[in-house]
Amino acid sequence: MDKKEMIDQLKCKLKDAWLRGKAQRIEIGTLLLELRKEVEHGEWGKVLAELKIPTTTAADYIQEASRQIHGFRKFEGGKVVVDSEAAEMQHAVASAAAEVARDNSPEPPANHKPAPVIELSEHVRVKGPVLFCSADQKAAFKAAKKENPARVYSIFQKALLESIGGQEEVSDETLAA
Amino acid sequence: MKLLQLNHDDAAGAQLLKGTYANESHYDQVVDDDMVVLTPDGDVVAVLVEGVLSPRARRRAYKYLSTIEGMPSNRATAVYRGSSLPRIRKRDGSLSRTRQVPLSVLDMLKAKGVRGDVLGSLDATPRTPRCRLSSWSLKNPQVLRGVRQLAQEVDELFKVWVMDRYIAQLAVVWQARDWQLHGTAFTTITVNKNFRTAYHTDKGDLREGFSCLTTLGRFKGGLLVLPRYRVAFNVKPGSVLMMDAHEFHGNTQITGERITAVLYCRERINRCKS
Repeated sequence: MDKKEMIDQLKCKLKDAWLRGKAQRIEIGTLLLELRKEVEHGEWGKVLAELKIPTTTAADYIQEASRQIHGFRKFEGGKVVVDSEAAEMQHAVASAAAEVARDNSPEPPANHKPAPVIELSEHVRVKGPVLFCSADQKAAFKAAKKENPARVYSIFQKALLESIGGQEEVSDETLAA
Repeated sequence: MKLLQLNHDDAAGAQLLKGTYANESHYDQVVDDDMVVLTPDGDVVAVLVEGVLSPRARRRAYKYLSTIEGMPSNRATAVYRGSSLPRIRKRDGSLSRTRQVPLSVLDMLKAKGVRGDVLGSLDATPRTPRCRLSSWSLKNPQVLRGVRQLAQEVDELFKVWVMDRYIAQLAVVWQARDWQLHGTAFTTITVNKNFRTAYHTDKGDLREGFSCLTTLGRFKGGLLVLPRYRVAFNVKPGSVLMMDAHEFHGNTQITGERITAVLYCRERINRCKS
Protein backbone atom coordinates (compact mmCIF):
# COMPACT_ATOMS: atom_id res chain seq x y z
CA MET A 1 0.00 0.00 0.00
CA ASP A 2 1.54 3.30 -1.01
CA LYS A 3 1.37 6.42 1.07
CA LYS A 4 -1.45 8.05 -0.89
CA GLU A 5 -3.65 4.96 -0.56
CA MET A 6 -2.95 4.82 3.16
CA ILE A 7 -3.91 8.47 3.59
CA ASP A 8 -7.11 7.96 1.59
CA GLN A 9 -8.02 4.92 3.65
CA LEU A 10 -7.46 6.78 6.90
CA LYS A 11 -9.56 9.67 5.60
CA CYS A 12 -12.43 7.30 4.78
CA LYS A 13 -12.24 5.73 8.24
CA LEU A 14 -12.21 9.20 9.78
CA LYS A 15 -15.30 10.28 7.89
CA ASP A 16 -17.07 7.12 9.03
CA ALA A 17 -16.05 7.59 12.68
CA TRP A 18 -16.97 11.29 12.56
CA LEU A 19 -20.52 10.41 11.57
CA ARG A 20 -20.93 8.06 14.51
CA GLY A 21 -20.62 10.94 17.01
CA LYS A 22 -19.37 11.48 20.51
CA ALA A 23 -18.67 7.90 21.51
CA GLN A 24 -16.12 7.67 18.75
CA ARG A 25 -13.97 10.59 19.87
CA ILE A 26 -11.15 8.35 20.96
CA GLU A 27 -11.26 6.44 17.71
CA ILE A 28 -11.22 9.70 15.78
CA GLY A 29 -8.33 10.95 17.90
CA THR A 30 -6.35 7.77 17.27
CA LEU A 31 -6.99 7.99 13.54
CA LEU A 32 -6.01 11.65 13.54
CA LEU A 33 -2.79 10.75 15.34
CA GLU A 34 -1.99 8.11 12.73
CA LEU A 35 -2.92 10.43 9.90
CA ARG A 36 -0.78 13.23 11.27
CA LYS A 37 2.24 10.93 11.29
CA GLU A 38 1.77 10.24 7.58
CA VAL A 39 1.03 13.78 6.42
CA GLU A 40 3.90 15.97 5.25
CA HIS A 41 5.00 18.90 7.36
CA GLY A 42 2.78 21.92 6.62
CA GLU A 43 -0.02 19.84 5.11
CA TRP A 44 -1.91 19.05 8.33
CA GLY A 45 -4.10 22.16 8.24
CA LYS A 46 -5.10 21.46 4.65
CA VAL A 47 -6.03 17.86 5.46
CA LEU A 48 -8.21 19.00 8.36
CA ALA A 49 -9.86 21.60 6.14
CA GLU A 50 -10.52 18.92 3.56
CA LEU A 51 -12.09 16.69 6.23
CA LYS A 52 -14.02 19.71 7.59
CA ILE A 53 -12.72 19.10 11.11
CA PRO A 54 -11.90 22.28 13.05
CA THR A 55 -8.26 22.43 14.16
CA THR A 56 -9.10 22.90 17.86
CA THR A 57 -11.57 19.99 17.80
CA ALA A 58 -8.93 17.82 16.20
CA ALA A 59 -6.45 18.86 18.89
CA ASP A 60 -8.98 17.94 21.62
CA TYR A 61 -9.63 14.54 20.09
CA ILE A 62 -5.93 13.89 19.68
CA GLN A 63 -5.36 14.83 23.31
CA GLU A 64 -8.13 12.50 24.48
CA ALA A 65 -6.82 9.63 22.40
CA SER A 66 -3.29 10.31 23.52
CA ARG A 67 -4.38 10.21 27.17
CA GLN A 68 -6.14 6.95 26.52
CA ILE A 69 -3.03 5.47 24.97
CA HIS A 70 -0.31 6.88 27.22
CA GLY A 71 -2.18 7.82 30.40
CA PHE A 72 -1.82 11.29 31.87
CA ARG A 73 1.57 12.75 31.27
CA LYS A 74 2.91 15.83 32.89
CA PHE A 75 6.15 17.32 31.71
CA GLU A 76 7.93 19.20 34.42
CA GLY A 77 11.63 19.82 34.39
CA GLY A 78 12.17 17.14 31.77
CA LYS A 79 10.47 14.44 33.91
CA VAL A 80 7.62 12.41 32.48
CA VAL A 81 5.03 11.35 35.02
CA VAL A 82 2.62 8.60 34.09
CA ASP A 83 0.04 7.96 36.78
CA SER A 84 -1.85 4.76 36.06
CA GLU A 85 -3.97 5.09 39.22
CA ALA A 86 -5.17 8.52 38.13
CA ALA A 87 -6.16 7.21 34.71
CA GLU A 88 -7.96 4.26 36.33
CA MET A 89 -9.81 6.52 38.73
CA GLN A 90 -10.77 8.93 35.95
CA HIS A 91 -12.19 6.05 33.97
CA ALA A 92 -14.15 4.74 36.98
CA VAL A 93 -15.59 8.18 37.76
CA ALA A 94 -16.51 8.81 34.11
CA SER A 95 -18.29 5.42 33.91
CA ALA A 96 -20.19 6.14 37.13
CA ALA A 97 -21.19 9.59 35.85
CA ALA A 98 -22.42 8.07 32.59
CA GLU A 99 -24.40 5.48 34.57
CA VAL A 100 -25.98 8.19 36.69
CA ALA A 101 -26.85 10.19 33.56
CA ARG A 102 -28.48 7.07 32.11
CA ASP A 103 -30.31 6.33 35.38
CA ASN A 104 -31.57 9.90 35.54
CA SER A 105 -33.36 9.53 32.22
CA PRO A 106 -37.19 9.54 32.34
CA GLU A 107 -37.23 5.75 32.04
CA PRO A 108 -36.39 4.21 35.43
CA PRO A 109 -34.11 1.14 35.54
CA ALA A 110 -35.52 -2.39 35.55
CA ASN A 111 -35.04 -3.01 39.28
CA HIS A 112 -36.88 0.17 40.24
CA LYS A 113 -40.37 -0.21 41.73
CA PRO A 114 -42.57 2.44 40.15
CA ALA A 115 -44.77 4.60 42.31
CA PRO A 116 -48.38 3.41 42.37
CA VAL A 117 -50.37 4.96 39.55
CA ILE A 118 -53.27 7.05 40.78
CA GLU A 119 -56.34 6.54 38.64
CA LEU A 120 -58.12 9.80 38.04
CA SER A 121 -61.80 9.57 38.63
CA GLU A 122 -64.17 11.97 37.00
CA HIS A 123 -63.93 14.24 40.00
CA VAL A 124 -60.51 15.19 41.24
CA ARG A 125 -59.65 17.12 44.31
CA VAL A 126 -57.64 20.28 43.76
CA LYS A 127 -55.18 21.82 46.18
CA GLY A 128 -56.33 24.48 48.61
CA PRO A 129 -59.62 24.75 50.41
CA VAL A 130 -62.21 22.00 50.11
CA LEU A 131 -63.25 22.56 46.51
CA PHE A 132 -64.11 20.00 43.88
CA CYS A 133 -64.31 20.23 40.12
CA SER A 134 -64.54 17.74 37.32
CA ALA A 135 -61.50 16.65 35.34
CA ASP A 136 -62.85 18.46 32.26
CA GLN A 137 -63.33 21.62 34.24
CA LYS A 138 -59.77 21.40 35.57
CA ALA A 139 -58.37 20.92 32.06
CA ALA A 140 -60.45 23.83 30.79
CA PHE A 141 -59.22 25.96 33.66
CA LYS A 142 -55.57 25.16 32.90
CA ALA A 143 -56.01 25.91 29.20
CA ALA A 144 -57.82 29.14 29.88
CA LYS A 145 -55.19 30.21 32.44
CA LYS A 146 -52.50 29.70 29.86
CA GLU A 147 -54.35 31.71 27.24
CA ASN A 148 -55.67 34.59 29.27
CA PRO A 149 -54.62 34.79 32.95
CA ALA A 150 -56.55 38.04 33.53
CA ARG A 151 -59.83 36.47 32.50
CA VAL A 152 -59.24 33.41 34.67
CA TYR A 153 -58.40 35.68 37.59
CA SER A 154 -61.72 37.50 37.19
CA ILE A 155 -63.61 34.18 36.98
CA PHE A 156 -61.79 32.94 40.06
CA GLN A 157 -62.70 36.14 41.89
CA LYS A 158 -66.36 35.66 40.97
CA ALA A 159 -66.24 32.03 42.13
CA LEU A 160 -64.65 33.09 45.39
CA LEU A 161 -67.34 35.69 45.95
CA GLU A 162 -69.90 33.01 45.20
CA SER A 163 -68.40 30.61 47.72
CA ILE A 164 -68.14 33.17 50.50
CA GLY A 165 -71.15 35.34 49.87
CA GLY A 166 -73.16 33.88 47.02
CA GLN A 167 -73.29 37.26 45.28
CA GLU A 168 -72.73 36.20 41.72
CA GLU A 169 -73.02 32.75 40.21
CA VAL A 170 -70.47 31.36 37.78
CA SER A 171 -72.01 29.04 35.26
CA ASP A 172 -70.34 25.84 34.08
CA GLU A 173 -70.36 27.22 30.53
CA THR A 174 -68.26 30.23 31.62
CA LEU A 175 -65.71 27.96 33.27
CA ALA A 176 -65.60 25.58 30.36
CA ALA A 177 -65.22 28.41 27.81
CA MET B 1 15.01 20.50 64.65
CA LYS B 2 15.70 22.37 61.40
CA LEU B 3 13.88 25.29 59.89
CA LEU B 4 12.79 25.38 56.26
CA GLN B 5 11.52 28.58 54.72
CA LEU B 6 9.66 27.88 51.49
CA ASN B 7 10.08 30.24 48.58
CA HIS B 8 7.25 29.09 46.32
CA ASP B 9 3.65 30.17 46.85
CA ASP B 10 0.99 29.50 44.21
CA ALA B 11 -2.46 29.28 45.79
CA ALA B 12 -4.30 29.61 42.45
CA GLY B 13 -2.22 26.83 40.89
CA ALA B 14 -2.96 24.54 43.84
CA GLN B 15 -6.68 25.27 43.51
CA LEU B 16 -6.57 24.05 39.90
CA LEU B 17 -5.29 20.67 41.08
CA LYS B 18 -8.28 20.12 43.38
CA GLY B 19 -9.56 16.55 43.15
CA THR B 20 -6.56 15.18 41.25
CA TYR B 21 -3.76 12.94 42.45
CA ALA B 22 -0.42 14.27 43.61
CA ASN B 23 2.62 13.29 41.64
CA GLU B 24 6.31 13.99 41.71
CA SER B 25 6.04 16.96 39.38
CA HIS B 26 4.12 18.84 42.07
CA TYR B 27 6.94 19.19 44.59
CA ASP B 28 10.54 20.26 44.63
CA GLN B 29 11.61 19.10 48.06
CA VAL B 30 10.74 16.23 50.34
CA VAL B 31 10.78 16.77 54.08
CA ASP B 32 11.48 13.53 55.93
CA ASP B 33 13.37 14.74 58.98
CA ASP B 34 12.55 16.90 62.00
CA MET B 35 11.59 20.19 60.43
CA VAL B 36 9.58 23.35 61.07
CA VAL B 37 8.31 24.50 57.68
CA LEU B 38 7.51 28.16 57.13
CA THR B 39 5.61 29.80 54.30
CA PRO B 40 7.32 32.59 52.32
CA ASP B 41 5.42 34.97 54.66
CA GLY B 42 7.00 33.34 57.69
CA ASP B 43 3.94 31.52 59.06
CA VAL B 44 4.30 27.97 60.31
CA VAL B 45 2.55 25.72 57.81
CA ALA B 46 3.74 22.37 59.14
CA VAL B 47 5.98 20.75 61.71
CA LEU B 48 7.31 17.25 61.20
CA VAL B 49 8.67 15.38 64.20
CA GLU B 50 10.38 12.16 63.27
CA GLY B 51 9.94 8.82 65.10
CA VAL B 52 8.60 10.14 68.39
CA LEU B 53 5.64 7.93 69.21
CA SER B 54 6.31 5.08 71.61
CA PRO B 55 6.24 1.56 70.15
CA ARG B 56 3.52 0.62 72.66
CA ALA B 57 1.21 3.43 71.56
CA ARG B 58 1.81 2.54 67.91
CA ARG B 59 1.25 -1.17 68.44
CA ARG B 60 -1.93 -0.61 70.39
CA ALA B 61 -3.28 1.94 67.93
CA TYR B 62 -2.44 -0.32 64.99
CA LYS B 63 -4.23 -3.25 66.63
CA TYR B 64 -7.47 -1.31 66.81
CA LEU B 65 -7.28 1.06 63.86
CA SER B 66 -6.47 -1.72 61.41
CA THR B 67 -9.98 -3.09 62.08
CA ILE B 68 -11.44 -0.12 60.21
CA GLU B 69 -14.28 -1.12 57.92
CA GLY B 70 -15.92 2.15 56.80
CA MET B 71 -15.60 3.69 53.36
CA PRO B 72 -14.98 7.33 52.46
CA SER B 73 -18.34 7.62 50.72
CA ASN B 74 -18.82 11.27 51.68
CA ARG B 75 -15.33 12.44 50.76
CA ALA B 76 -15.77 12.92 47.05
CA THR B 77 -13.04 15.52 46.54
CA ALA B 78 -10.53 13.34 48.36
CA VAL B 79 -11.57 10.33 46.28
CA TYR B 80 -11.25 11.99 42.88
CA ARG B 81 -12.50 14.94 40.88
CA GLY B 82 -16.10 14.51 39.68
CA SER B 83 -16.91 11.60 42.00
CA SER B 84 -19.68 13.45 43.83
CA LEU B 85 -22.79 12.10 42.13
CA PRO B 86 -26.51 11.77 42.98
CA ARG B 87 -27.26 8.59 44.89
CA ILE B 88 -30.85 8.23 46.04
CA ARG B 89 -33.71 7.34 43.76
CA LYS B 90 -36.97 9.10 44.42
CA ARG B 91 -40.39 7.48 44.02
CA ASP B 92 -40.77 8.83 40.51
CA GLY B 93 -37.55 7.12 39.45
CA SER B 94 -35.45 10.27 39.25
CA LEU B 95 -32.35 10.80 41.36
CA SER B 96 -32.30 13.06 44.39
CA ARG B 97 -29.90 15.93 44.92
CA THR B 98 -28.13 14.07 47.73
CA ARG B 99 -24.68 13.23 46.49
CA GLN B 100 -21.97 10.75 47.41
CA VAL B 101 -19.15 8.77 45.86
CA PRO B 102 -20.80 6.26 43.49
CA LEU B 103 -20.95 2.65 44.62
CA SER B 104 -18.98 1.41 41.60
CA VAL B 105 -16.06 3.68 42.58
CA LEU B 106 -16.36 2.65 46.23
CA ASP B 107 -16.29 -1.00 45.22
CA MET B 108 -13.14 -0.40 43.20
CA LEU B 109 -11.50 1.33 46.18
CA LYS B 110 -12.66 -1.42 48.53
CA ALA B 111 -11.04 -4.04 46.32
CA LYS B 112 -7.80 -2.09 46.67
CA GLY B 113 -8.11 -2.22 50.47
CA VAL B 114 -9.10 1.41 50.92
CA ARG B 115 -11.00 2.24 54.10
CA GLY B 116 -11.93 5.49 55.82
CA ASP B 117 -13.90 6.34 58.93
CA VAL B 118 -14.16 8.76 61.82
CA LEU B 119 -13.52 8.11 65.47
CA GLY B 120 -14.61 10.38 68.32
CA SER B 121 -17.05 13.27 68.43
CA LEU B 122 -18.95 14.90 65.61
CA ASP B 123 -20.59 18.30 65.78
CA ALA B 124 -24.11 19.12 64.69
CA THR B 125 -24.90 19.48 61.00
CA PRO B 126 -28.14 20.60 59.31
CA ARG B 127 -28.90 16.96 58.53
CA THR B 128 -28.01 15.64 62.01
CA PRO B 129 -28.77 18.58 64.30
CA ARG B 130 -27.08 17.18 67.40
CA CYS B 131 -23.58 16.44 68.55
CA ARG B 132 -22.80 12.77 68.85
CA LEU B 133 -20.11 10.14 68.87
CA SER B 134 -19.32 8.69 65.46
CA SER B 135 -20.92 5.43 64.46
CA TRP B 136 -17.59 3.60 64.61
CA SER B 137 -16.97 4.83 68.17
CA LEU B 138 -20.41 3.77 69.31
CA LYS B 139 -20.25 0.35 67.73
CA ASN B 140 -16.65 -0.30 68.77
CA PRO B 141 -15.88 1.65 71.96
CA GLN B 142 -12.75 -0.46 72.47
CA VAL B 143 -11.23 1.21 69.38
CA LEU B 144 -11.75 4.62 70.94
CA ARG B 145 -10.13 3.39 74.14
CA GLY B 146 -7.31 1.80 72.16
CA VAL B 147 -6.09 5.12 70.74
CA ARG B 148 -5.87 6.84 74.13
CA GLN B 149 -2.08 6.62 74.44
CA LEU B 150 -1.52 7.64 70.83
CA ALA B 151 -3.79 10.68 71.23
CA GLN B 152 -2.08 11.73 74.45
CA GLU B 153 1.41 11.40 73.00
CA VAL B 154 0.44 13.42 69.91
CA ASP B 155 -1.17 16.00 72.19
CA GLU B 156 2.09 16.42 74.12
CA LEU B 157 3.98 17.03 70.88
CA PHE B 158 1.39 19.50 69.65
CA LYS B 159 1.68 21.41 72.93
CA VAL B 160 5.45 21.62 72.68
CA TRP B 161 5.89 22.44 69.01
CA VAL B 162 2.93 24.62 68.01
CA MET B 163 1.91 26.15 71.30
CA ASP B 164 -0.13 29.09 69.94
CA ARG B 165 -2.36 26.85 67.86
CA TYR B 166 -2.54 24.35 70.72
CA ILE B 167 -3.84 26.99 73.14
CA ALA B 168 -6.43 28.23 70.63
CA GLN B 169 -7.60 24.67 70.04
CA LEU B 170 -7.67 23.72 73.70
CA ALA B 171 -9.73 26.82 74.49
CA VAL B 172 -12.40 25.58 72.09
CA VAL B 173 -12.25 21.99 73.34
CA TRP B 174 -12.65 23.15 76.93
CA GLN B 175 -15.95 24.73 76.01
CA ALA B 176 -17.24 21.25 75.16
CA ARG B 177 -15.46 19.00 77.62
CA ASP B 178 -17.99 16.23 77.23
CA TRP B 179 -16.78 15.78 73.69
CA GLN B 180 -13.05 16.02 74.43
CA LEU B 181 -10.94 13.07 73.33
CA HIS B 182 -9.07 11.50 76.27
CA GLY B 183 -8.31 14.88 77.86
CA THR B 184 -6.41 16.18 74.81
CA ALA B 185 -6.85 19.19 72.54
CA PHE B 186 -8.61 16.95 70.03
CA THR B 187 -12.18 15.84 69.62
CA THR B 188 -12.02 13.64 66.55
CA ILE B 189 -9.74 11.28 64.63
CA THR B 190 -10.16 10.64 60.92
CA VAL B 191 -8.63 7.29 60.03
CA ASN B 192 -7.71 6.26 56.50
CA LYS B 193 -6.31 2.95 55.37
CA ASN B 194 -4.48 2.72 52.04
CA PHE B 195 -6.42 5.79 50.96
CA ARG B 196 -4.53 7.80 48.38
CA THR B 197 -6.35 11.09 48.70
CA ALA B 198 -6.68 13.47 45.79
CA TYR B 199 -5.93 17.13 46.52
CA HIS B 200 -8.46 18.44 49.02
CA THR B 201 -8.75 20.71 52.01
CA ASP B 202 -10.14 19.44 55.30
CA LYS B 203 -13.55 20.76 56.20
CA GLY B 204 -15.09 20.98 59.64
CA ASP B 205 -11.89 21.28 61.62
CA LEU B 206 -10.97 24.31 63.66
CA ARG B 207 -9.41 27.11 61.57
CA GLU B 208 -7.28 28.38 64.43
CA GLY B 209 -6.04 24.88 65.26
CA PHE B 210 -3.77 22.38 63.54
CA SER B 211 -4.38 18.84 62.34
CA CYS B 212 -1.94 16.26 63.65
CA LEU B 213 -1.26 13.33 61.37
CA THR B 214 0.54 10.14 62.15
CA THR B 215 0.96 6.94 60.17
CA LEU B 216 1.00 3.25 61.04
CA GLY B 217 1.77 0.10 59.07
CA ARG B 218 4.48 -0.78 56.56
CA PHE B 219 4.42 1.07 53.30
CA LYS B 220 6.33 2.96 50.67
CA GLY B 221 5.32 6.20 49.00
CA GLY B 222 2.25 8.01 50.26
CA LEU B 223 4.03 11.34 50.47
CA LEU B 224 1.77 14.16 51.58
CA VAL B 225 2.14 16.98 49.06
CA LEU B 226 1.31 20.64 49.54
CA PRO B 227 1.28 21.83 45.90
CA ARG B 228 0.88 25.48 46.86
CA TYR B 229 4.38 25.46 48.36
CA ARG B 230 5.77 22.63 46.20
CA VAL B 231 6.77 20.64 49.25
CA ALA B 232 6.12 17.01 50.21
CA PHE B 233 6.28 15.31 53.60
CA ASN B 234 7.33 11.75 54.16
CA VAL B 235 5.51 10.86 57.36
CA LYS B 236 7.03 7.56 58.43
CA PRO B 237 5.33 5.30 61.00
CA GLY B 238 5.78 6.79 64.44
CA SER B 239 6.37 10.32 63.12
CA VAL B 240 3.90 13.12 63.61
CA LEU B 241 3.09 15.88 61.14
CA MET B 242 1.31 18.91 62.51
CA MET B 243 -0.05 20.97 59.66
CA ASP B 244 -2.62 23.45 58.47
CA ALA B 245 -5.06 21.10 56.76
CA HIS B 246 -6.90 24.02 55.19
CA GLU B 247 -4.20 24.10 52.53
CA PHE B 248 -4.69 21.76 49.57
CA HIS B 249 -2.97 18.46 50.24
CA GLY B 250 -2.98 15.01 48.69
CA ASN B 251 -0.95 11.81 48.55
CA THR B 252 1.32 10.18 46.06
CA GLN B 253 0.96 6.51 45.22
CA ILE B 254 1.06 4.07 48.15
CA THR B 255 2.46 0.55 48.19
CA GLY B 256 1.97 -1.65 51.24
CA GLU B 257 -0.35 -0.97 54.14
CA ARG B 258 -0.61 2.63 55.28
CA ILE B 259 -2.97 3.67 58.06
CA THR B 260 -3.17 7.36 58.85
CA ALA B 261 -4.77 8.89 61.90
CA VAL B 262 -5.55 12.60 61.68
CA LEU B 263 -6.33 14.12 65.06
CA TYR B 264 -8.15 17.44 65.13
CA CYS B 265 -10.84 19.52 66.77
CA ARG B 266 -14.26 19.92 65.14
CA GLU B 267 -14.96 23.55 64.37
CA ARG B 268 -18.41 23.78 65.94
CA ILE B 269 -17.88 21.41 68.84
CA ASN B 270 -18.15 24.30 71.32
CA ARG B 271 -21.78 24.78 70.27
CA CYS B 272 -22.63 21.34 71.56
CA LYS B 273 -24.69 21.07 74.68
CA SER B 274 -23.46 18.76 77.42
